[in-house]
Amino acid sequence: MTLDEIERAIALAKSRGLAELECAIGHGGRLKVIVNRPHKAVAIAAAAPRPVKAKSGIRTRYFGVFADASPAIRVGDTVTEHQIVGFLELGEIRFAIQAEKAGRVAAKPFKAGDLVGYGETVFEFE
Amino acid sequence: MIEVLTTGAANSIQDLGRNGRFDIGVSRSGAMDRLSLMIGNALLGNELNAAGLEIAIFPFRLRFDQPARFAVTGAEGAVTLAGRPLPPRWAASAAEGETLVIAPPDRGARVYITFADGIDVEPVLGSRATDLKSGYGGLEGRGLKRGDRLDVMPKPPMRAFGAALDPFAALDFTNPLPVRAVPAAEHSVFSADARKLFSRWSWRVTQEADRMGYRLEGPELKLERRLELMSHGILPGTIQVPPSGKPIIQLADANTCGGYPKIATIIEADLWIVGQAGPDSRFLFTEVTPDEANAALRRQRHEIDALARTVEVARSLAG
Repeated sequence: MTLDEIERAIALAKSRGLAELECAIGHGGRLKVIVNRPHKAVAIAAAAPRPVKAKSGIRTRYFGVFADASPAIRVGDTVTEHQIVGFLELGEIRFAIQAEKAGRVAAKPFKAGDLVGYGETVFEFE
Repeated sequence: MIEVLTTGAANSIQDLGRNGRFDIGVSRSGAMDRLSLMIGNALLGNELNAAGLEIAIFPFRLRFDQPARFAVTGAEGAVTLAGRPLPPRWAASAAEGETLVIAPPDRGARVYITFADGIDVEPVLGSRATDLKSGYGGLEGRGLKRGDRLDVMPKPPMRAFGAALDPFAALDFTNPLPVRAVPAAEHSVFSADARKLFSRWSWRVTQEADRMGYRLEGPELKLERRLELMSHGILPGTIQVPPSGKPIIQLADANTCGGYPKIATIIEADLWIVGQAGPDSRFLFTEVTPDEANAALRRQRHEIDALARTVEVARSLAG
């Protein structure tokens, strides 16, 4: 579980007007979010999350400042498994972002110099 | 051990060179691009002065006979380990039997391969650098040959990473390379035209360019008056003007003294650019003061120290 995911859980609880939200997280753990003042009561039906289809693509395993591979990967390019598609820079060092599987890039939400968080999709596949 | 599979005789073991013995005629030698060697050493947590390989003749191939950690820095081009491409300024680990291949670079002239804890050869006069001209240091004082085997430390695998610090980002090899220089002792004896030309002409590196020095092609630089000079000390970076009027940059393996008038000295912080410029590259010299030269060197060392510190933190976190 990352900070980002905890923040999303808090935001979800607030937006649904829930006072408390508890969910299972990896390795048998549980996360409990308690929001002090729920704004209003809501119908249970409205709280049911809408199914979200996870987009396939390349997600980060670190945080850092995005830097392009050389040459830069662009929308429409095909990448192969294990290909280095970009870098995440942390101060003076950089780690490779590698494609876990092959695919064709449909979207590239980040550009060089952007700050990227854990688990963000840096390349979306078609 | 690593074994050299493909090489040229101009490829050699280099560290930061021999300092402090210029008075007895011992040249500095050492890496022509000291900055890239230091980045390669910093990436591996080495002493910045650890010995690595300077590759100027391509392709170069070596095989790891044991697991090892290495970094490839300097000139940028196709580099593969067991067929997998490596990004520029990259540190990685090799498994036993894997081959590292360095193709002719697209940008720059010299590639540096460093190894965790350096290459273990006996230091001569306080340095592991090869002095190719005088024939000592490094591996029996000579360049690398096919079949040479070198001692490097066996190391377990690590996650590969690279340097964000990118000195090449500012260089455009299709245009004259900006190089800063401090006016030298005889600068004022050159004619006003010569002094103007020196800092305005785009000087071309001729085919006579090696670890001893580069001859430059351009207009004749004339002296205001005849000058008889005693033989005097010179350093890597000194730009001499022989009677032909065509400047020579003295470099790593240069003699420690000479008698030609000197128009300028390339600053230490920019000497790596000269080391990365092959024949037909062009230089545009900019005059700076000694204070500016020292400040530029301090900034560069600060960046390398910052890289070394970040690597140290990353290694302690990774265990």
